[in-house]
Amino acid sequence: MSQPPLLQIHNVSRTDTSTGKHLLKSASLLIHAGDRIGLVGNSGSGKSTFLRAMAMLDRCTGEWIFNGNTITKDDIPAYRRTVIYLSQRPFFTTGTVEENLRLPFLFKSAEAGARDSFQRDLAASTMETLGLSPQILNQPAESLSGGEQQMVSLIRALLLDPRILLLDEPTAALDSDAKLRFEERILKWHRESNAENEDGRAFLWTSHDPTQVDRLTDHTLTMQQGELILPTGPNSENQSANKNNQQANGVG
Amino acid sequence: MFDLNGLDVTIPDLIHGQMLGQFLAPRPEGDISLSWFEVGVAASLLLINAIISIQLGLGMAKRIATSSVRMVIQLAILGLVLKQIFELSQPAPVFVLAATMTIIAGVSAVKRIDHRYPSIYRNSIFSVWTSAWIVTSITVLIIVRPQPWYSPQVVIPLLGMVLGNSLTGISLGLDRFMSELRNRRGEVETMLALGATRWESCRGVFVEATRTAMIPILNTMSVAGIVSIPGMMTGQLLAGAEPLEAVKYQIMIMFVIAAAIAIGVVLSLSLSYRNVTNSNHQIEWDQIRRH
Repeated sequence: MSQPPLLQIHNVSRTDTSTGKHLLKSASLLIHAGDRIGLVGNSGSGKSTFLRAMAMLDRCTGEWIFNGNTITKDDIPAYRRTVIYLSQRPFFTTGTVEENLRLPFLFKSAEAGARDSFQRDLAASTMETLGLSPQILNQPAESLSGGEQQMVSLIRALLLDPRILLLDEPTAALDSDAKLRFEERILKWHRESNAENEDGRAFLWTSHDPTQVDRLTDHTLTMQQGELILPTGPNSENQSANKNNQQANGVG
Repeated sequence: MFDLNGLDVTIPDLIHGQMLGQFLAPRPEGDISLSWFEVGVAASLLLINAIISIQLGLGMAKRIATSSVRMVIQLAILGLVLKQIFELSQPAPVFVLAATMTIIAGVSAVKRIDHRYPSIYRNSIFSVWTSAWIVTSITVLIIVRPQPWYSPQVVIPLLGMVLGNSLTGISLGLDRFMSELRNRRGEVETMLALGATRWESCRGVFVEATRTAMIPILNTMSVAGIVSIPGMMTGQLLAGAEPLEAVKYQIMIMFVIAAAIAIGVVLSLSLSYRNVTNSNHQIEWDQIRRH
């Protein structure tokens, strides 16, 4: 009836290995191509923990199935460039913007990635769509303003041609104008894909701003004290993710 | 009239200014033994520091006193232990002393490190042990070849020198590795999130830590003999050795020390890297605690 989910995570839990505190309690979620999912919750509720867990950035227990394949340790670097976690504070190494954009193409996992070489033209044109001058490719990345850095960090992720973006309050440091351009770029990236074929894309977006979540996403999940709560807000007629996620809970 | 050497110094002697004679008295040639009084003169020099500290309110007077007392007690014990072991001249006591020194070095290497992970002591002891013992064995068995091979007069001072330097290198390297890892957390995490393996994300930190740990010995080597006469050579010259012989020994020991540091540092950093990362290309941030 419907195509298999892009990403399934089953019973993912995270415990602080030194204090024993449960940071994430058995979260399960299905993400389909085309999903636009919002994630809300108080600060400290575990939103970042959950997004990081989806990208397998911390030691967690559980199961991650991408496109029908269970992810094992050797797949993790390539998986992370397909399911990219974008942190709220972008980071750059010393060097120009271009060098920073090239960096992921120097990793071993580039060979297994969707796009294995750096395309300068694509970088320049992506910059223009975000209102940045391609001139800044030659500037030191650390000299950019906070907003520009967040834009460049998005470009760096988009150049890897990801399938899922995990956006951890990406616009928190942006002014309202830049915020809109950032949002538009994400929606454009999402629209470019076609949910019917292999190239379907999805994103998860965490935000403190409920209107932003309503504007950008078609269903909303809530984090509460390390627990993922589904479903909430009927902010869309499309409740497929919620149904799917109830199935996911059933699986667990 | 100045030949007062060998006389017991009494308070009246001091009062009558005769200690000056004690200083100026020529010794019999080749005799470099010190009396406890002479050691006391050196100790009194430290009083200047203590006075300055009190005057300027540096709050260091207590530290100076305790450090001095510790040093005296530790060396006195060492002297007594060495005296016993030299007299026994059996392999087992040499081995026990060497092992004790090694463990103490491994533990002290961790002392100055702010951010630690649970197995850091084990790693440090293992790294000090492996590097120092390999290098000291080669030095003793192949280069110096004393009779008997376990000769404590050769093994213990050599091992001590190698341990001291290896421990400094490991300590500097580990401290830098852990602090860099924390300072560059953003960089490391970003690289991981964009598909770096754990090694790709930590390589820069590892290289930086190795460099930091190796710099002191490289500096020491490049200024050796210009700024100062190195410790072992000083000792040999004082003991009446031929300068060229002393130089040969010093060159040998410098190379040996540099090798021990290099092995110890790379080993301790590799083990630390393995302990703070896992095969899922994650950093075990939870395990890193401040001390």
